[in-house]
Amino acid sequence: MRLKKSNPESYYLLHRREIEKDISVNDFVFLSLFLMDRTKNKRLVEQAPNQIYQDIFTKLISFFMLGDANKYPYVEKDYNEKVEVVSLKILEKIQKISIYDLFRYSIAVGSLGVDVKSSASAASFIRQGIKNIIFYETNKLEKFVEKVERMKQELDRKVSENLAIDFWKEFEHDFINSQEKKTLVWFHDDVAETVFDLFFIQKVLSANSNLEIVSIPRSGRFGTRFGNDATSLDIERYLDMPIFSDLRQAWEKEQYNYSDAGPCWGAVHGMQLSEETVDSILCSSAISVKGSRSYKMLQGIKVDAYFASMVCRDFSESIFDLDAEEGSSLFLKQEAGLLSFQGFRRRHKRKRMLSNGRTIMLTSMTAREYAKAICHQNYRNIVSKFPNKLEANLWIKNETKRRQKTIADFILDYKNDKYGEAA
Amino acid sequence: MQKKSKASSLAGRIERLLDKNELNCLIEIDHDLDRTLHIQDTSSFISEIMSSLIPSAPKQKLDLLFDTDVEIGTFFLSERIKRPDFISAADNLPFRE
Repeated sequence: MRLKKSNPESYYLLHRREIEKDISVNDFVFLSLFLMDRTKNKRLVEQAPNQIYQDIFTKLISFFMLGDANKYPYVEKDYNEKVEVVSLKILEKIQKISIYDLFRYSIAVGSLGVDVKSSASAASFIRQGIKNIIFYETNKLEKFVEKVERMKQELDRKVSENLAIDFWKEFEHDFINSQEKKTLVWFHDDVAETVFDLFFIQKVLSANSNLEIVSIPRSGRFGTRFGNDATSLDIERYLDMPIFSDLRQAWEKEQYNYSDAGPCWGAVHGMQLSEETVDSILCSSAISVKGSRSYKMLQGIKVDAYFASMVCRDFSESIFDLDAEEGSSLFLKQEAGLLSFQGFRRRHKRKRMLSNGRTIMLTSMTAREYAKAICHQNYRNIVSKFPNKLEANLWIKNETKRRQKTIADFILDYKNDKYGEAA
Repeated sequence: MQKKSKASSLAGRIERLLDKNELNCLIEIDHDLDRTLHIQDTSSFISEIMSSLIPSAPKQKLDLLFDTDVEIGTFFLSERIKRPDFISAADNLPFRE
């Protein structure tokens, strides 16, 4: 982990390193990982989820070199600027599409230009395939106009494919067509996705005056960029753009709001939420979350949660039972209090061969199995025995733990006469 | 013996660095555990790194959102650090040469 002299930002770090040269960055990061937190009797490495390891390393390095853990180097500047311009251009071309198609665009756009993204921004590696990435760089002779057109066509192709897991009907019923007052808390992810998310939110709020939406991007309070993710400063900037004029009106009427107290990681870490964010979630009807890492770190949250993401990475294909090289999009509803995948550590014990001959490892319960179980009549039968869904879900969770079964197996095996009295 | 003196020396240096940054943490080296440092302070260094600059909600509020036994993410870094791909992942950080 040596520092690059040619990069001005790194050069500054190098200068600092020379001042503090009695200890190397490497030693500092390594030793810090093994520091014992006596209040919890755990080391840092035993508390840090893999999904945010690169944030932890970056925070440690920033802290050591600059004395401020949140002074991140902006490594995705080039990537963000490129995909933001392309995204806005594509948006101009798809003004009149349906809300559902627009939503699917907002998921598929996550694969835009991943080829120019830093390899540091990954919790597991990307399975690079022709279908799962929309390349930014193809040939150097490609003009910008041609690039936008090509990327739009590739997005169109992705959007024309069915979602691999699709809970749109429930979402549409609960929020788009709701006659009751509802509040949705929306956690954003990448810059490109956020541009599309906001356009989608703008359309939805225009269609349903009963709905209020609170956007929670990464915090912009420290003036720091967490990887390639959008911050509250981006949303502030977008609201001044003519293409988001209706959203600005909704913001002025307080039908739409956004928070600057969002996550300070490259994902939504369930245990590292600000008080303001927790309050927003507790007052909401549901949350909608973009990004695969956030999905993994919000398992068991006690509010209904919709998750939208692409499957491009090694870990995701184990969780969703989908070929990452296909780059499928999905939209999953996780019922309040439940986990929508289980047994990641045991994935090496369960394998499946794909149609292309490649073998993938599967979690004990995949998200597809969860989705099937939750749509089964048995789940509705269980819920009907409780005063509310959350109580039913917490009972399911406890029973599956006691019986050492997965949630999906428990629901699908459920019989009224067998477990009914326990409810 | 050589390892112990290296670790002690590093601990002292980290302690001085922490003092410079006014973290007010006391570090002691545990000679029985190779490369393990202990912090004796309620406002531990880890808390400083993990949460001092990241406003985190009080535990009683987080408990309304998650059961206490919930595990965040797929696995912890301690499990990954044993794997051979960890070093290459560390090499891919933005500070690489």
